[in-house]
Parts: sequence; C-alpha cells; structure tokens
Amino acid sequence: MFKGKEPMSNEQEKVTGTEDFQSSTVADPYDLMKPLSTSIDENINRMKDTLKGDNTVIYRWMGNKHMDSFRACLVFIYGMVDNEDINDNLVTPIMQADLSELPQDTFLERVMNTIINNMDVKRCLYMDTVLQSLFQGETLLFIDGQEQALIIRSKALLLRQITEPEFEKVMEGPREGFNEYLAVNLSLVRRKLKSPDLKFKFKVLGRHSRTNVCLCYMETLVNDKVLGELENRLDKIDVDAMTGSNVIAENIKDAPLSVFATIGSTERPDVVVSKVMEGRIVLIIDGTSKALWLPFIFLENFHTAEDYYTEFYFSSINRLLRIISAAITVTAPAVYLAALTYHQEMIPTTLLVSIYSARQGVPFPAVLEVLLLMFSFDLVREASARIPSAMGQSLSIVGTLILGQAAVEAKFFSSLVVIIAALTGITGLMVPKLKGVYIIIRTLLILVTSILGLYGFAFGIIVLFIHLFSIRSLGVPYMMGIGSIKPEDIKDTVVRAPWWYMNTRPKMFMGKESRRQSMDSRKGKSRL
Amino acid sequence: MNYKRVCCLWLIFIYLFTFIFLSGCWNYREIEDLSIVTGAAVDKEDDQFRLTVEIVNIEGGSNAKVASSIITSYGATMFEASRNAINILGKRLYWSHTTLIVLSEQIAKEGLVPVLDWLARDPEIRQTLNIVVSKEKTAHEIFHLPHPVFNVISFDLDNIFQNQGSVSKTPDGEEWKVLKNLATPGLDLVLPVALLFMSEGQLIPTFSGTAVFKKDRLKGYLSPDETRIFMFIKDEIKTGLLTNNVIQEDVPVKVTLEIIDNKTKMKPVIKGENIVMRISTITNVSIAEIEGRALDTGEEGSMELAGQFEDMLQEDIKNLVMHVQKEFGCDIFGFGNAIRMEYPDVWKEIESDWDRLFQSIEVVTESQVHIENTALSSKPIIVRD
Repeated sequence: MFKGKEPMSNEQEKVTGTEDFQSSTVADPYDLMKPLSTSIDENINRMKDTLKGDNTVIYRWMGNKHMDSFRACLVFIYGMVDNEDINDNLVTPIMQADLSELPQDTFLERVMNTIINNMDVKRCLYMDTVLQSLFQGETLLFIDGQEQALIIRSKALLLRQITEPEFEKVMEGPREGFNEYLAVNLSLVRRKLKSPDLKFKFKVLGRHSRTNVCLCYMETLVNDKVLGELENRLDKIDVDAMTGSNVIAENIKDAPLSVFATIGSTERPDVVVSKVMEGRIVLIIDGTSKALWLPFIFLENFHTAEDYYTEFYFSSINRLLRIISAAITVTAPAVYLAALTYHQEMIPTTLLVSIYSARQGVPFPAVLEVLLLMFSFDLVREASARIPSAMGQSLSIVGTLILGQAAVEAKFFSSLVVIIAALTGITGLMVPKLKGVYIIIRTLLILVTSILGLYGFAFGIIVLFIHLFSIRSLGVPYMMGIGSIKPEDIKDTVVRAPWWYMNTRPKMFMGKESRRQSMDSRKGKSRL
Repeated sequence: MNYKRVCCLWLIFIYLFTFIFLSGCWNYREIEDLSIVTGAAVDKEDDQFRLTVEIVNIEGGSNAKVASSIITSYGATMFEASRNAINILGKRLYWSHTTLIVLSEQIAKEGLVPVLDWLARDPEIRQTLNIVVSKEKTAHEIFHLPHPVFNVISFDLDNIFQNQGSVSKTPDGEEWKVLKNLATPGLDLVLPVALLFMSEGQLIPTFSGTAVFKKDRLKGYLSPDETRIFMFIKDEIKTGLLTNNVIQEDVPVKVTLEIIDNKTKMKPVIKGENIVMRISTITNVSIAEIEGRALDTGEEGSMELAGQFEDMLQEDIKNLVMHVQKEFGCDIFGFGNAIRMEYPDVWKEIESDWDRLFQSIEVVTESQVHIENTALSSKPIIVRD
C-alpha cells in the first residue's frame, strides 16, 4: 500500500518540478479555499502539490490491525512536533484499536473522541486552515472516506529560557522576560493579572508569515476610541513577513518620519502589566520578545521598570539624572563649539587660557574636530555592538589608546574636546533606547551652531521642541506631563510619586475608570 | 501641488535664507587665531598712542605652561594701535578677557576721553575692566619687569583688585563706574594708582592710593591712608583695619580694630546762607590686635577705646576734606551730588558757582564705633613677675 503510493508521488514531483520556475510559490488562493474531498489520495496529492519542494513535511501512511480497508495518513512537519507524543498517542492507538467496530456514520467523531489520545483535536474542512495548522506544528490526520481532516495538537515547545532581558535589567523586582513564543509570553502576563477584564485579542498579520499579534488590554480601562483606531491601523498593515515588532511600530507610527519613537517597547511582563493597568494597549507579537505599548509619551523614554521597585526618592533622582544626561549628551558638543568659536568672552579666563594652550597646533578647525571625534566615538560604539565578544578586547585597546591618548599626544585632537566627547558618550549611554535620536539631534545642533553660534543653537533647540510638542502617539500628545504644574499630572513623569499618592490613572489614556486605588490607601500603614 | 503648499515652502526658504545670511553676528573665529589680551598700558609718544599689551603665551611642548608676552604697537588712535598689533603678531588682539588698562600720568593729565571712548564703544571690551593711572614715569613699565610669583602680571593685578575689600586702600576703577562718575554732576572722578614697589630687591607692580581728577584731568594723588578715609566718607568701605595709638596710663598703646561693617551717611544741611555737610559714620568693629598690656577690654574699657577711635575718625575725615578742598578743589566726595539729591532747587542756583563754593563748605562729623567682640581673647595677654 505504501510502496504503491510512494513512487507515484515521486513521479508527480518530477513532473511538476519543471513548472516550479513559472508558477509562483504561493498556491492559488482559490484552490486553497476549496473544501477537502472524501478521497484521501486526492487530498494528499493536493497537499503534496501545494507543498512541493518542502521536504520537511512527512506523510505517514497507516493501516489498522482489525480493519483492512482503513487507510489513513498523518501529515506533520519534521522538527516541529513532539515525536514521542505522536508515536504513543496517535500512531499506536490508530493502528492497534479495533476500528471495525465503530459505526460508519459517526466514524470520524468516534475516532476523535475515543481513539486519539490528545487533549486538543479539531475537525477541519478547508485546505488553507489545514495548512495553517500544519505550519504551526500541529499534526494532520486524513482518513480515507472522510471529507474532514483532524488537526491534532502536537507542538514541541522548543523555547528559549525565560531570562532577564539584557537591556532592561533591574536590581530589585522580577527578573523574567519574554521569549519568542507568544503563548508563553501571554501566560507570563496572565499570571500577573488574574482579572477577567484582561483581554487577549488576536490578529494575524503578514501575507506569508501569518504572524499572530495579540492585543492585550483591560476592557474596563481602555479607551474604546483609541482601541478602535489601533485596530484600524493594524488592519491596514500589509507586509509579507512580520519579522519583528519594529515592522508594526514603523507602520502604525503617528509621525512616520520623526526620529522619536512614539511607541513604547519592552521585554518585561511586569512592564506590560503596569501599562495595561494604565489603560494602554500592549501588542505582543509572536516570534519576537519585544512587546509594544501605545500610547507612549516622551518622558517614558526616561522611565525604567526599576523606578517602581525602588524607593521613590531614589527613583526620582535617577529619573532626573537620566533627563539631565540626555540634555548634556545632546547639547554639550554644540555648546562647547559655540563658546569656543563664537563666544570666547563667555568662557572664564582661566579655562579660556587652558583651552587656548590645548588648541595650539591642532590642525583642524573646532567644528571638524568635534564632528570627527563624535564620529569616531560612534564608530567604536557600533563596532563594539557588532563585534563577537572574543574580539572585544582588541577593540577597546584600539579605541582607548589610539583614539584617546595617541590622538591627543599627536596633537590630532585637543584634550578638551576628548573630554567633551567622553562626557557626551557616557551620558549618551544612560538611556540606550534613545541613542539613535541622540546622534541625529546632536549632529544637527553641532551643524547649526557652527553656522550661527549660540543663536543657531537656540534656534535648533526651538525647532526640536516645536517638533516634540507637535507629535502625538495614538492621539495622545507626546509631551504630555511637560509644562503642567499640577501635582496629579506630574506624579509619574520627571519624578515618581510614592505609590500611595498615585490614586488616579493618567487622564490622557483613561477610558472609563480613573480611580486606581482608594484615596485612603495609606490607611494600612499610617493608623497603627 | 496646491497653492498653500507652495506658499509654505517659499516661506520656509525665505526664513532659512534670511536667518543664515542676514543675521548680525557672523564672527566664527578659531580660538588659536586670537591673542588674548590680559592687560594693557597706554602711553603717549609724539602725538601717537603707544599701546603695550600683555598677551597670553603658551610655552613648552606637551607640558604647556601659561606665560605672557609683552607687545608694543603704535597708532594715532587707540583702535588703530590695537589693529596695528596684527603686523607684529599676525593675530588680532582679543580684548574680552582684559582685566585692566594702565594709563600714563601724561594721558591722565591731558584728559581721559580720547582713551575712554574706544573702551566704551568697542564691543569686545568688558565694562568691568579696571582703569588705573600709573604713578611711574610711563605706563608700560608696570608690565615690563618679570614678576617673581606670577607668570601673567595682569592676573596678579586683577587679584589685588578682587581682594581689595579687606584692605580698602585702593578705590574701584571699573569702566562703567568711571563713565557714570564722569556723567554725574557734583561728583569728581577718582581712579586707582599703580606703581612699582621694591620687594626683595625687585620691583613689583602694585596699587597704592588714589588719583584725583577734575573733570577728566588728573589733579593729584591721595596716599593709601587717605584713600581709606576717603572710602569711609564715600561709604564704600567693606572691611579693613583701623589703627590708632591709644593713651593708656600716659603710655601710647597701638591698637588695631578690624572693621566688620560700616555705614556712612552724608547729609547737606542748609543754615541760612551756608551749606553744612553732615557726615556721620556708624562702624562695627572687633578688636584685632592690642600691642600692650593691661588694657581693659571690658564694657567700660571698650567704651573708652571706642571713644578714642571715634575722635580719631572724626579728625581724619575733617582733615582729609580740608586737604582736598585746599589742595585740589575737586569734589571727589560727591557733596554737590548730595545737595542735588536733597535740595534740587538750591543746586540749580549754586551749580555754576560750585567749584568755588566747594572749597569753603563746612563739614560736621559724627562717628560711632561699636566694638562687637574681642576675637578669641577676652583679655590682653597677662604677664606676671
């Protein structure tokens, strides 16, 4: 029985193989929409036809000990299924059980309910659904004479460990991070939020990749308009493969050309939970460990998960440090340049004299010097990000010795500009998410400053702020929380207020329920 | 392309064009192309200004040391002399960090205005720069000798000005104050005096005393001690010392008081035809030094001590005013200005005759000295047989 089929399928492959070049790799959608037939040969041939060239698909023909006329075929993808599970719970029962006793009219149902030893079995009528299940690692069972195929869950969970995300490390607080498997990620969120209000809504994106994207939100907290708008935007995405969360982020961004990210991203389930509890919507995407959240405001760039786990004074100080460092890294080279080339009277005399002595014999004008050094710093930064860690040491030797010391001694750069570059570099690493933004704004500011001095610098800063204040994230002003002096608006922006003070959710994201906790939440500890 | 968009693009273009090409201050300059002037001396030689500038100079290779060089250039005007320095240095003089300008006695006698105008007009020069008159023969010799301690003489001289508060023997010579004084009626100008001072067999530049001006012309000098009294009258004293011989049981004992603060009030009083200036000082002091034994610094003793100082201060003030009236006839104390403030109508009448009136004006003084503490010792040192 098997031998008879095997050469035939091989022949068929040979015959159709020549057409491979002309026919598109996507099967005709109309063909896939057609229902399955009752003939197992026809169904299997259709599958082989669709999947020609894919040798990972295994067709396992089976008979039954007690019923000679029984023919069935298991179809699965090698490597995506749990082999033992299939052997013990599918192949063995179907071959060994006395199928001849089963009534013909409800045969499939009986097989499904009494023979197959698996927790999740579905019936399916259409080819495309069958194929989708196959690609997700499920096993298909075709039985001769039945026009429905059975889809049996047999996924092998080959996962990366749940580890702490490299870029969002905390000293205190939970250390779990997402991996690339959607179901696991959702379970991590669900475990922290055991409320029926938490909804997971799926969407399938990507013409070919058919990636599952899950919208997580609290039904009672989310703003329905915002949710509707997000779903609209997601529906409009038409890409062939969803390779990472950034594909979505760039496609649904409010200001597509802005250098600023208007969509937050995280690898931490605890962050997802806290965002969801503020009435925001989180997108968890299969195949990537980065979840996205919207709406996202500017100041959140400077927030870390750690802020909420450490004492509020300390986390406020840290936030301020991050904001100050952002200001320094963006402006330091430009201000240095302005003072040095336009406003020498602004520099204290002793400092001026020391700069003057350091600049003696330096061949480049100050602008070029600053730009070159910034450029070489970014070279080192990008190289160290790409380089295998075994070679990292040679990079640091080259970076520090050649760029730092030798260049100054050879009078290639003046020592002060190296100090400025070092300051810029260190402060620029404080918020890794913004490093791209920093480079662009810093360079632009250096350029305008070199043309117009502090006047140009001020102009650049004004343009930057106009831009920042004009963009939105899913309808919410990006600079929300800046410029307000009401304590309730700034409780979780530049500083973090104590938990007992954060009684209401941020107004802008708020859907229905604004109260976060009772106004008297301090009661527990204050009245002894 | 719709009309609005074209308009918008044009506006942006015009905006960018004007702000890049038509903005005022197009002065990109590399720092090493400047020579930083720290101080300057101005002399007059045959109708030409001789400008002597001290500029920052870097000595040595990798361990660069900051030093100064002296450059001289000539010009018919100050600005020309400054620009002529390019012929020597190859770099433009940069005046924004200049701390002082020394004028020769000759220039001071002939009038300050030819020099002051450029100082006031040039955008690079700071209004806080000190203008000083040289008591030496020329102004440039202040800079010419190597200083035993400092590499840059102007920085040293500037430090002297910065710390003048605890000596009070040199008046202020900041440019903006000079200009203000010149423009105030009933007030004549004073400037600090620079000279060379012999120390360890070496001549060192320093400040000492006051140059007294009538309008913008030099009339004479006050000694450092007179300067201190002058600053008492002007209420410009911050801290400083008062030294006096106190008669204790017929033996003079030298006592030094340190001034904690001082408040001087100058009030013109019209008595019939005469105008009397009432100068009252209230000085809080602490005892800094007593060079003698058995001086009572208790409550009664302090009162007596303070009384002797009060007398001394009143005497000194009267003497100084008289000296200035007789010797120079310049109203450096601002008596005229005080009258102008208090009695504007009277001032209008006497303004034209003020130069003569000033010399005969009577001064009434009233001084109070409060000894607040005796520093660490409550009694003089006790020596027993």
